[in-house]
Amino acid sequence: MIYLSTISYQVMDLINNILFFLLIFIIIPQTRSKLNVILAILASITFSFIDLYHDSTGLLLPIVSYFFLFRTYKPRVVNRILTLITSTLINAFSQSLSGLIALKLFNYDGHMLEMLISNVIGNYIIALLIVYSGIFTVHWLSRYIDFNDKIIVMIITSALAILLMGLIALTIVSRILNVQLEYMQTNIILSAIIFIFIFLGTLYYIAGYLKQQRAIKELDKLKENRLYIKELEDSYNEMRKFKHDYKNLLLSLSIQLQDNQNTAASETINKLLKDSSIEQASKLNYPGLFSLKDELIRGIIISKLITAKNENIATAVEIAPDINISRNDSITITRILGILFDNAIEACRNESHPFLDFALISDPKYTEFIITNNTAPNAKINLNQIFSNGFSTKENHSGLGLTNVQELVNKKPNFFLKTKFENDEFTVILTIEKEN
Amino acid sequence: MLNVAICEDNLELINVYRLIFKNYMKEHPEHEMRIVVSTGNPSELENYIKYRSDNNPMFYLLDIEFADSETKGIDIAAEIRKNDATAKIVFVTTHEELAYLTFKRKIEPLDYIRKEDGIKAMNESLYKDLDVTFERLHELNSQRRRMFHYSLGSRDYTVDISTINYLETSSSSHKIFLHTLTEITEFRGNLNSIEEEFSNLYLAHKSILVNINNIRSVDSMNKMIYFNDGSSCEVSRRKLPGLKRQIAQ
Repeated sequence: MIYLSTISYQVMDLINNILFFLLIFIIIPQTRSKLNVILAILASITFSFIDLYHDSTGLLLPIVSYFFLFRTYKPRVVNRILTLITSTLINAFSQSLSGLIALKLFNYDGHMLEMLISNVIGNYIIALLIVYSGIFTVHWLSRYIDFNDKIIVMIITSALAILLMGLIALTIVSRILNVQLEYMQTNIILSAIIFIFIFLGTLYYIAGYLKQQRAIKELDKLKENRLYIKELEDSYNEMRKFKHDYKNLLLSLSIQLQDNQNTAASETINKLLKDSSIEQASKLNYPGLFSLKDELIRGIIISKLITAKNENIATAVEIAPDINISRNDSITITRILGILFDNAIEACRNESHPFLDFALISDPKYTEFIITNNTAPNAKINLNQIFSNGFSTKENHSGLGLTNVQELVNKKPNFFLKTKFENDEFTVILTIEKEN
Repeated sequence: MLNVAICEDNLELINVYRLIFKNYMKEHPEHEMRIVVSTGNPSELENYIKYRSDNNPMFYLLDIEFADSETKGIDIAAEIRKNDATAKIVFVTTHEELAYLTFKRKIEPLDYIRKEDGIKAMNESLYKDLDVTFERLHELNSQRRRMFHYSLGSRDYTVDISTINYLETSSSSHKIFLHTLTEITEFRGNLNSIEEEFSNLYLAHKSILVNINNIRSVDSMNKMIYFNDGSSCEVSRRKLPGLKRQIAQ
């Protein structure tokens, strides 16, 4: 042990003990209260002087008093332990470092007061630097890591606990062997190295844990989605049944009324029969669309239908419930559908009553996609021309669409394209033969 | 003799339909027809189809959805279409039940009649459909049109040969493009065997088969063929004289 005058040594110890509590107040701001500050100072004084007679209790007793700080604010136990370990670690590390600096700066004897002062000041500066940069790092990391997660806190706590135990072991060994200076040097180097390893290990572990959490969340979301889709389908089917019955009822009522010649009543019934508001109510529901398993294709259909709806195009969708699409074809089909939908929307949006119908038909041997839109009455479209590059019936439109579709279809030997223009309706049918 | 079959789960409506058919028969004594089944039970119709003994052309009037039965009108229609390509099928439906494109594609029905249009409109539609049915029956009997057949995804399609402009093989795939007045269709096939089958199709290019009857003009300078509807295709220099000879005939 380096010889120091007892009083100066005790003062230094006291100031260092206060630092321990100061760090806690910084890490957990909720513990800052007048009573706690008094408690911290009293505890520090008491323990520094007890340390005079019982060596090393100065290290243990603040730990006991630490738990008295949480009378009003009660964080989780694991958080309390984490904070305790963190502040103890920082304290021990900065004390070693500042002590080393002070010893290297001044001689062993002679400049004792200067050495003590520089030791204390160095201790505070280093500790505060570490704690603030730590808080900053945690703040930055909290964008990626949830520090409220119990398991993550546990991981960090145990990592730091291992580090602390290593330090304590080192202290005890160095005290027994009486090699304080060497202890300080090795302490600093070792703890820095261990800290880096533990920091990286912890991050790695946390990354793995987070990935797992995300997977679990995704699964839950999928499950919820499926439930929601099922509910939508059920409600849609109920609606359908109701409408069927309701229309049949009205129709038979109108037949009965014909004999009575009650024109007012039959007019009302005819109006009700033609009432489209009941159709409108369920227009957003597309039966079968939810059962389409291929997410890419379902996605393009939904997004293009929404686009059509926003353009006030009347849409009708029919999707067979047992559609099965090969994974290999999925991307090509999605690209083709995207172009075909765009073309159809582009072609009919300026009509007075634009409509776009889509059907997905399934057969044991083939799958068919049909897109139909109306065109201007008596419009003339030359089917041969719309396939040649650059031609389009609309101005300001590239016209490359169908040529691209044809190229995509040509690459797939089991894809067949049919384009039809008849009765002011333009229809494209994509037939995909199933491979056996 | 045209056989009429009705299947509808609303019994009152059945009677309305029967009345419409009876009135049509009275007003058109020249057409021979009779109602062979009218039922609210789909399986009764299925039984009739299974065990019927005559070979008369059929006219079906089907409700699409039956409240009390698992069998849907579309399933019955699909069954009918499988065995009878010429049967005339008319659906009666409320708008909501209409999977229009699917039905059109799979069943090729003659018409849809919407219940919400009211009895009067339904009456008119049925009259029109019966007119068309008899007209087609007459056509079928008087002249056999040349039809071009091709198959796609296990299904057979027929196209009136007079509507074909030309057929073309694609260089990049083993598919034939069929260009008609109203559509362009791809299918698997072989141009040479098609040429042998139809005398009015001429191989104007090693990959193009043209319909002589629909050609408006031939541009020898640019080696192009123009069809009546304005579309065009290439012709090879070697084939030009032969093509002109064919057109002159």
